Amino acid sequence: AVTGLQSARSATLDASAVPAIRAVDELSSLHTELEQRVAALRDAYNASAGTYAESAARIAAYEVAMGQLARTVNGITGSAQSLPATVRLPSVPRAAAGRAPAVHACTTASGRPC
Amino acid sequence: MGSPLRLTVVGAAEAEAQAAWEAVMTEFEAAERAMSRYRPSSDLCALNRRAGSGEPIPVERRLRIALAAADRAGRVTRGRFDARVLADLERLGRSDAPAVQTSLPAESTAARRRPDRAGSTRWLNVVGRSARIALSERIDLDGIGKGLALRWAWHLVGALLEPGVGALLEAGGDIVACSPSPDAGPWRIAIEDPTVEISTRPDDGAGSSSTALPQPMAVVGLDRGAITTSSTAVNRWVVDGRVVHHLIDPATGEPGGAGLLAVTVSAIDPAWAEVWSKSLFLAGRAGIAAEARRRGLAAWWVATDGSIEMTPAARLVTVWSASDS
Repeated sequence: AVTGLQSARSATLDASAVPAIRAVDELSSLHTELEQRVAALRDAYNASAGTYAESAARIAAYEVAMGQLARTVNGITGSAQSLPATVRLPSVPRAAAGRAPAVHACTTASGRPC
Repeated sequence: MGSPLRLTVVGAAEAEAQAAWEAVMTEFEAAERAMSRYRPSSDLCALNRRAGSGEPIPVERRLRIALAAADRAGRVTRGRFDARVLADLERLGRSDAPAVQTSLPAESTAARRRPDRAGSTRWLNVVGRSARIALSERIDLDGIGKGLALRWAWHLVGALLEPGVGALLEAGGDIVACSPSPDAGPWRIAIEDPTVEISTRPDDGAGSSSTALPQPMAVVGLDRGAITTSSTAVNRWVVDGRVVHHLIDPATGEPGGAGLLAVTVSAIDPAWAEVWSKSLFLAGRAGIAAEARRRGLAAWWVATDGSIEMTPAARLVTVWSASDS
């Protein structure tokens, strides 16, 4: 009778432990999922940190180029200030108004003077 | 051909100028014997008489070059230049007598395109290396023949004159020249007004260094090269009550150049200036500007309303223009 009783108690204890066991399992899987998420976040963070570092390097390079550009602009400004106020352009032949000038020959279909 | 010739030389000795003139006369006579359609004894007439027979005959050097040039001009202009328009001219009643002067030609009627001209077959058959040639159809080399004669004569003039001597050679309104002119600058060349009737112009065969003749459409400064004009001002006549002219559109067999009276082209070579003046004319007023600009040509054209237009390349060498006065 004692044995039977103990067996029943063990069964009862086991049954009562099932929810707890389940909870532990769930916790364990949640923990695993959480670990995975943390790992993913860590990877993303590391990637962002690397990109940020590259961007920082590019920005530094741009700043150097901007400095060079500023020096070039200053040089041009200085040169421009030494240019004359007006520039004489080469003359372009313009069709003059009024009567046609005297010519040396005439291109015609007839061959006669025009 | 059979055009009046004029050679003006600046800064050369009399004997040198005379030698150049004799070379020009000799070369043009040789070109006539080879390419004239108006001499029954010419090499071209002999070739034309055998056209279509398939019988090749030996051909003189000048004519051989002219045939090749005409063939190439047809390909470069995509068929607008076609030496085979002779049959169309004769069908339209073109005679060798002086043209009947009438009112300006009416607008070309919209003729149907001839399907047999599309992708046309070769009309020139050269047999081996023996310079024996046969034609599939009779041809006319008038315009390009004059241009080639000018080219060849100009080469002789250049060889006979000292460097730095200016000269102008004119053949029936087609001109080739090099500076300096008598005024020490570029030669000033007038582009005739095609709306002025021929009968009202003085017949000054001697020419002069200055002129008080009817106003031209434009004056061009020609430093080095050629300038030619294709126009309906002279070669027009009446057929069945309608006025036609000699500038035939090969695609239709009818007078072309809708909306135009004359086209002038300046180029380094007189033969190609002639080819382009004709080809651009056949583009008509609607197409000439785009075609001339695409080809990079210095071209002027007079429309049927009497206005003159020109390409930017032409504007650069235009000294005076009726449109600006």
